[in-house]
Amino acid sequence: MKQVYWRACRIAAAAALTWITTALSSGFGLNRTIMSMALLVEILAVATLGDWLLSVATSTVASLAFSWYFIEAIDSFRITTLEGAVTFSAMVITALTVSQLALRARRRADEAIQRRAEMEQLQRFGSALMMTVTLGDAAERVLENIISLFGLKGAALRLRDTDKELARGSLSGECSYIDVGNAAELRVYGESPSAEVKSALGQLVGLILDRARSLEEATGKEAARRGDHLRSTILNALAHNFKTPLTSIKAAASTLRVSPDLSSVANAELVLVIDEEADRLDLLIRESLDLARIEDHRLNPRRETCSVPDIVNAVAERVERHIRGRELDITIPAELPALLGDRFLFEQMLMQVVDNAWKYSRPGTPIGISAAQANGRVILTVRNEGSQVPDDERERIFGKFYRGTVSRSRVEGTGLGLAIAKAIAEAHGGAVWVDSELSGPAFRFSLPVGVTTGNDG
Amino acid sequence: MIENRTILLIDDEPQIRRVLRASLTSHGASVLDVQNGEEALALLRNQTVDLVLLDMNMPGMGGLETCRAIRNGWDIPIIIVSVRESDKDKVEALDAGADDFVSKPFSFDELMARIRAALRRSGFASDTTPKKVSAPGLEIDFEQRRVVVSGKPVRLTPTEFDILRYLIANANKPVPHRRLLQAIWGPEYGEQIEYLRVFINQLRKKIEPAGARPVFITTEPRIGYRFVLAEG
Repeated sequence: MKQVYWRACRIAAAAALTWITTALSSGFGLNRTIMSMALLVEILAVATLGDWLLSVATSTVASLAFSWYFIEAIDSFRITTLEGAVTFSAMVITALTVSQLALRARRRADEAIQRRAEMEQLQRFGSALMMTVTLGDAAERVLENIISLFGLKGAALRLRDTDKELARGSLSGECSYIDVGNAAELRVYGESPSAEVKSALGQLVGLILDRARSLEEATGKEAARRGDHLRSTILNALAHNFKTPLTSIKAAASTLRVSPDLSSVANAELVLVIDEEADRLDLLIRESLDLARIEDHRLNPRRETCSVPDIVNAVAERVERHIRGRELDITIPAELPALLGDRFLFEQMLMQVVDNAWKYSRPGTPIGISAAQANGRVILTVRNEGSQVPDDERERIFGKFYRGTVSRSRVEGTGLGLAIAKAIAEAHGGAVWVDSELSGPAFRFSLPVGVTTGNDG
Repeated sequence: MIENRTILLIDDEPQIRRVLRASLTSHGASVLDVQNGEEALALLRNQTVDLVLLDMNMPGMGGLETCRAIRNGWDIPIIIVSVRESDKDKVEALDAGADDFVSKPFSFDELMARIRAALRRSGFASDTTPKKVSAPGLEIDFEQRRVVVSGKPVRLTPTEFDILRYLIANANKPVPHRRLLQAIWGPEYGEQIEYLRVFINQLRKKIEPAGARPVFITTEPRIGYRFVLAEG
C-alpha cells in the first residue's frame, strides 16, 4: 500500500512541477522551441531515474502543459496543428523509449549483482567440498552445503553404481532435477536456483563425485598392491625357509652317502643335523598351513568391526597352551574404539608378536599386552623382559627371513613371524615398530580406528 | 685335492655350517666358519684361505657385497651358494666377482666337484701357452702372472687369468663356448654360457682399449670367442 501511495505522490509532484514550470516559462515569454527542448530534457531525466509510469505521466502532463501554454490556441488542450501533434507524440514516444531503455539497463545491473552472489555461493560450495575423500563423505557434504548455501528446503542424491539414496532436509513439495552427469542423480526441493546456477552446480557436483570415486579407487589399488607385496613376501620366505633345512639335510645325507670312512663324531653330527632339520621342516609345514589361511583372508579380506579386547582375548587363548608358566598381563581401557578390518588377520598379526615375545624373553618373565588410543589411532603394545633389540636391527627384524644375530643360533623359528605381522598391519593402513623400555623391548602396532566409541557399543 | 686346504665358510645358517664343517673336515680340509661378511673380512686379514664358500642371503652386508669386498682385496676363488637360482642371480653373483655359483639345496659330491674345479683353476698351466705375449698396448707375463695394459699393471682374478691364458694358447682360432667352459671350470660344465659372458666382459673392461670395439677378444657369433694376436 505504502509503495502505491509513494508512487502516486511522486507522479503528482512531477506533474505539478512540470505544469508550474511550463506556466512560469510561458509567463516569462520563453521561446516555444527552447521550452520544448527543456521539457524533453526533463522527460529524459525522469525516464532515466524513475519508472515507466512516472515518465509516461510526466511526458503526458508536459505535452498537455506545452499545448496549453505554447501552441497556437493558447489556454486550450486541443491540438489542431501538425506541430502540436508532432510535439505531443515526440514527448510521449521519448518518454516511453527512454524509460524502457533505462529499465533494461537497471535490470542488467541487478542481474549482474545477482549473478555475482550466485558465483560466490558456488565458490563457497566448491571449496566446502574440496577436502572430501570418500564418495560417501562427498555425497553427504554435497547435500548439506547445497541446502545451506542455496537456501533450499531439502535435497536428495542417488548414486547410480550403488543405487543408494542419501537425503537431507524436507523432501516435500515441488522438486527440480540438477544434471550431475551419469553417475548420480540430484534432486532439490524448495525455490529452485536459476538455470545457470543449476548447470554450474551440476558440473561441480559431478566433478566432486568423480574425484572422490577415483580417489577411492586409487586407495583400493594401493591396498591391492600392498596385498600382492604380502603374498610375494610370504612366498619368498616360504621358499627360503623350506630350502634352508632341506639344504642341511641334503648336504648331510649326501656326505654320509659318499664318505665311507667318516669318523663317528662327524657321522653323529650329520645324523643329528638331519634329525633337527626334519623337525624344523615339520614346524614349517604347520606354519605354512597357517599362512595359507592368512592368504585366503588376504585375498578375501573381511571388513568387520573388531573389538580390541576380543582380538587380544582370542590371541591369549591361543598362546596360553604353549606359553605355560608365563603370565599374560593384559591391560585394555574400557573406552577403546574398535578396529575395522579382518579379524582373523588382526589375530594372526598379534599372535606373531606375542609368540615372538615369549620365544625371545627369559623363562618365567611375564608378557604384557596393552592397548591405548592416541591421535585417532589404536596403539597395541606387546612387552617382554627379553634383551633389547640393537638399534641397527630395529628395522631389519621385520624383514623377510631375518632373525636376530644373538638369538639366531638358539631360538627355534622361521624368521617369518614379524614380517607377517608387519605386512598385515600395513595392509590395514597401520604400522609396527619396536621401542626399548626399561624392562625390555616393546613392540607397538599403530592401527587406524574403524568406528568411534560413539557409534559402537 | 682339498686335503690341507683352508676353506672359509660364510653362512648365517648355523645348521649348514655344522654340516659343511663336519663333511669338509672329514675330507681333509681345514674349515673356518663365520656367520657374516664383516667377520669374514676381519678373518681374511689375518689368515690365508684357499677358497671361499659364500651364502647370498645374509644379514648385514649381504652376500653380493661381501663378494665384491673380498674380490677387491684377494684373488681367492669364491663360490657363491644360494637358495636363489635364476640366471639373473647367477649373473649378479659372477658380476660381483664370484667364480662359480651353486644352488641350494646341493649334494655334497656336487659341491666337492665345484670346489675341486675352483682349486684346480688357480693352478692351471699348459705347455702350449707361450710364456710371454706382447701386442700393441698389451703385455702379459704368464710366469709372473702379470698383465700390463698401456703401460699400467692390471689385476686379473684367477678365473679371468685362466680364460685369457686358454684363449691365447688358442690364439687366432675360434674357441667354442663349451670347450672354454670345460677347460676353465671343469668337465661338469658346458651349458653355463652366461658365466662366459660375464667373465669375458670383465676381461674386456680390463684389457681392451676403452670405447672401441674389442680388438683382442672378439666374439664368434653362436660359436665362442677368439683371441686376435698379430703374427710375428
